[in-house]
Amino acid sequence: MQTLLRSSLLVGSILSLTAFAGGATVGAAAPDFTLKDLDGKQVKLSDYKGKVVVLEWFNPGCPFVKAAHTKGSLKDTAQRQTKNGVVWLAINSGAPGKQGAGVDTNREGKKTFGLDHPVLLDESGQAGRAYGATNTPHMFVIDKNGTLVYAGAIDNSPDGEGASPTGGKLINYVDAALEDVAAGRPVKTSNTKAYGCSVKYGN
Amino acid sequence: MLRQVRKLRGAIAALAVALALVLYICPSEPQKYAGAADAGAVFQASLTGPERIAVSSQGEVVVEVTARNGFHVNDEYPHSFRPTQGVEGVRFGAERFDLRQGWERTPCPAEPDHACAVRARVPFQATAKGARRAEGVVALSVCNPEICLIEKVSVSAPIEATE
Repeated sequence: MQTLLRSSLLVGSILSLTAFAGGATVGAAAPDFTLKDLDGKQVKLSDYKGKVVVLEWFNPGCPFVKAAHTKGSLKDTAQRQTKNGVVWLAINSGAPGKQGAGVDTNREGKKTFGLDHPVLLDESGQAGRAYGATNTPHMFVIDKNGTLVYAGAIDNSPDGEGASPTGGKLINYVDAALEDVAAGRPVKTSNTKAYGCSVKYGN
Repeated sequence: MLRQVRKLRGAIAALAVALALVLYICPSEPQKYAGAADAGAVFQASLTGPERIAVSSQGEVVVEVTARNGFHVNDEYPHSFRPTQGVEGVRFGAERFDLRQGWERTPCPAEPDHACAVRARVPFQATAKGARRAEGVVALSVCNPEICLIEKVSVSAPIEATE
């Protein structure tokens, strides 16, 4: 009996570690977090339960983020979607001293890209790792029940500027997922491969 | 007179110290290329063509992207060549060529999984006799472990079209 218990605990531990290493899973509950915005105000994801939330992994120094916000699929998307009642949170998991990290750099980026939504700092990388965020931009859509319904790229044009869409037609995956969520349909494309810069985690 | 010269010398020395301090505190250029002196030290894009080609025949230009100083070519980026439209005597069959299709990769000596140079062939046709130039813009991306860059570089190559 003791051996069985030990084995179950071991298997359980391995499974938990595997789930953590793989990040958040589409169809499962989105991991909760509490992070500070650039004014030091705490933002807790679970406070937004009942609302659709978009998480955008962000680094103002990353050229893919710059291209996406100035020419590509992130240009004005957050403003448009927040008017529809969507909560949009940008998260920077860059460790101190890394490219694009720090309050001042992100304030500057927020101003440059004309962002109205909060930019949250995750310098420990805990939230980023919990979601398995690998790139900037890396997008996650959470429905009103707190379930993760989309994870991946902003679009199918890995140059960031929407100029070279795979298959010839530009698809904004986040817009498409939000449209499905609003219509009460399952998200048709729920997982894609994120592109862009690596998230500048600390060690 | 001597006193005035001494005063002037003192003022110049103070000014020099102040200038040195300003330069020390405010470096003139941000280190955009992660320590390398300029873009050329980190990457290069080039276009080479056949020196001679017969009018109406098909030829190829070669687009090459090279990464240096710890940078490698970013495989995930849709590297492309967009020929300049309306160049007399040189015709490309498309507005944009995806360079990743069939490119030749040269692995980085220290990191063989990454490419430090890529070469792609792009077909074209010479449509009129004479000294011509193939030209266009290469969209490229190179990365090192810390940062990625995306750039657009204008390239051109001389081509002599003969009968």
